[in-house]
Amino acid sequence: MNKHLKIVRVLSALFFFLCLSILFIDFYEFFVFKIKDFVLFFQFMPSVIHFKNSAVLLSSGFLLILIITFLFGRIYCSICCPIGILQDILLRLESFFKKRTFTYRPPFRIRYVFLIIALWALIFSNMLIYNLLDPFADFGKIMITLFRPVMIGINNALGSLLETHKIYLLFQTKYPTLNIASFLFALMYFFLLLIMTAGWGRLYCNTLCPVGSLLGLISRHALFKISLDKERCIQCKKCVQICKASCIDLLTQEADNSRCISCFNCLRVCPSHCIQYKMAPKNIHEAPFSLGKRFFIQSVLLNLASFLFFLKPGKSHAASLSAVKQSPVSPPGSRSLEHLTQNCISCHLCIGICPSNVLEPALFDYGINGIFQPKMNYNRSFCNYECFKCSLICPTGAIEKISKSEKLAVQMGKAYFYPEKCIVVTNKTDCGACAEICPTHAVRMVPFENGLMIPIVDDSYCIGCGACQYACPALPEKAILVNGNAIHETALIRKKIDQPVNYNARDDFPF
Amino acid sequence: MDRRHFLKSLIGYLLFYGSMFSFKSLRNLHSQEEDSSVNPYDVVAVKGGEPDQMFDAAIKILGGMKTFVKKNQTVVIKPNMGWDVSPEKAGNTNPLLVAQVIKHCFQAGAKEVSVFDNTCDHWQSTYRNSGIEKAAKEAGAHVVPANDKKYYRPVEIPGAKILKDALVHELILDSDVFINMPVLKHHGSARLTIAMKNLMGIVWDRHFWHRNDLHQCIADFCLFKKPDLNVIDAYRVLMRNGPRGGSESDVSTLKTLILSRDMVAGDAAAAKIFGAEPQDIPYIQIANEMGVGVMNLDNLNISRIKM
Repeated sequence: MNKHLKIVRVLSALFFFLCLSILFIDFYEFFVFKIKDFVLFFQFMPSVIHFKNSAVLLSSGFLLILIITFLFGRIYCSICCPIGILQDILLRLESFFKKRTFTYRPPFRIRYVFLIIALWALIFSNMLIYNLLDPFADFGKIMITLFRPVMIGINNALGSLLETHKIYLLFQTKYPTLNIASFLFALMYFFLLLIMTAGWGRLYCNTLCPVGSLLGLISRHALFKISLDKERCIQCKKCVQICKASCIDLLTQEADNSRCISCFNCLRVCPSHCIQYKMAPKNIHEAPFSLGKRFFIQSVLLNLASFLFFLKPGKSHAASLSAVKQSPVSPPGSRSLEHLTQNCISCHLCIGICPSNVLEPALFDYGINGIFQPKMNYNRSFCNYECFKCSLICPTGAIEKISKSEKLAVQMGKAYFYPEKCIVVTNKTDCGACAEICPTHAVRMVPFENGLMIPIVDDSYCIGCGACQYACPALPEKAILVNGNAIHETALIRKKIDQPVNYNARDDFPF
Repeated sequence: MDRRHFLKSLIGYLLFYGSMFSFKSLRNLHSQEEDSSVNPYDVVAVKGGEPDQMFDAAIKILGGMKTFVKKNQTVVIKPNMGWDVSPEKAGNTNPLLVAQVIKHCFQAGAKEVSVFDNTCDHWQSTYRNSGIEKAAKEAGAHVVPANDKKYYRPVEIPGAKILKDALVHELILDSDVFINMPVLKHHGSARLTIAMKNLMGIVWDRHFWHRNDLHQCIADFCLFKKPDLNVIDAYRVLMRNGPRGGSESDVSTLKTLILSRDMVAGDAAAAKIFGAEPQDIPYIQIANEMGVGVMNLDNLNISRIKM
């Protein structure tokens, strides 16, 4: 039985990895909405933040993961975590070129520093550390900014080829909006992962990853765990050399179960069958959890420092934003800039799913803590009137799920018209590009001088979709701009107020 | 040469020359038909039927679709399919009418019929929600994307005042027959959008038009290429809040269809159906002055059919 655990682990991991990849690169949306609930249920941090927003069954996946970890150890890190599986894949690819051997390494206590910061960050709803270190968020950034464009490039090239034979099967798809900073971050993160994996196996999971550190605390006391039979061990070191978490110490003949990521590789190589994955309710050999006096003092100081750090910007941050005149527009369903910035770990799922590519990673629009979180770029595109896919896909509830009728009325921002820049005023010719594209008729054309028509904005109907800003052809500056609402409002719906058109068509022809 | 060979060749010669005669007579017959059908009417207007019935009646007056589409030709149809709204809201050309035109093209022997528009809203949802994608595909046409700059090629527009060049969709340049299928509707800045305005959907950069005298650009672009046939849908007409619409309360069901080779004449007739005067629509006036077509309906031969 113990020998087959690895196979089960590998197959499950590949299945999850496939599902997770589909989630991020399925730009034809064949499967993404069918599998998203299942896949996102098992993602730890998204589930935690989602649960914090709305404690429902769908968002309780992390509880299940905690229970599983308590029973069976860090299976999550080997099977569900996309970055964990990615590292395993990289290691496997490396093994084709050269034989890798690992050695035992004492644990880095720095991981608890990250864990402490992460816990305070969660309490004070500051998402920066998750944004930078959470495995799901970073996997998302890698997929959306690095792999998705490659897939789209292949699709477009194939599509062009087919179109020359009059086969319109693959569409020319637009590339997601690349923010150079998020692109560089994803690239750097990927290389960091590559270097850490090549050098030290699963080091990332046992130092930087806050989820790994938390689950490690639990898996230390897991019901089922890896243990060595000291009588039968022949000190062949095969298990040590294959342990990518570097957690098997042959001196004490013990496995550090807080770092063991339950890959089960060691079970297969042990010639004397002394390594067992079994129920060990009380491991008498294991040293008690002790971090030492020095670390205790350090952690108290760190705790205090991070508490004070997060206490300050957590609350005042969004308030300072709303005071700015030209504020960013957050996606529909995000309720307010504060709600978005305090719940988004910037996994970029919404940026990938957005059909009009209006969503892009912010730079410092939401402040430093909101880096890479999604914002609307109305110079590039605009928000489709009836679309609310970002609200359906968001795993954390930063963009809350809304209905279609809510979407039609949610006011993300308001359009402001600057007549002095308008074509009608500067060129004295008709234009009306903003009014014709406005889905709610908040922008209308009214008579101006010399029989011309000029736009007028009634912002009670405006939903801030940005169509007018996108369509405005005025150069060098657009004459109509959308300013984001710090707190989303509800727009009036004109259709409900209109009287039916009254037109007496003649029975015969008017010519 | 034996007898069998002689007989064989005799039959062969007879067949060959016989067929020559028959072809010749056919060709004469055909050209006569064409002669008689050269502008029997400049404009055909139909009222009171369903979109497909009205088209059947109208195209018959012009000698059937074979007047416009010859065997094995490729046809491109450009409906107004710019807005992500359902057919009832009259923001786009009637899908039933588009399907009927496609069917007539195939009956006339068309090899291929393609349909596209450079949409204003997101192209895939617009194609879908307009109902045209489904109707056109069922009728056997290719529904072709126009969402990428790579589909467009630069052209020059001789005689244009402002819009001297443009990027035009490759299918317009490569197809044998071009059928323009606008819907008549209100337009906030152009006043009305009909046949000439519909051609904005075959170019890539529309910002230029808006920036540089919209009406002159609309008229200028008509010098580039005249559609072989304009089928103007006025079954459901968006009377206000155009061109996008979005509410059925803005729609009036006029059950009208206009066919014309001349975009200016078609637009003038459609404007009158809407209750406007052609000379009040600046681009119709400009196009008339530039000689694109004839705006004064009194000078034209109009067939009027009431169903």
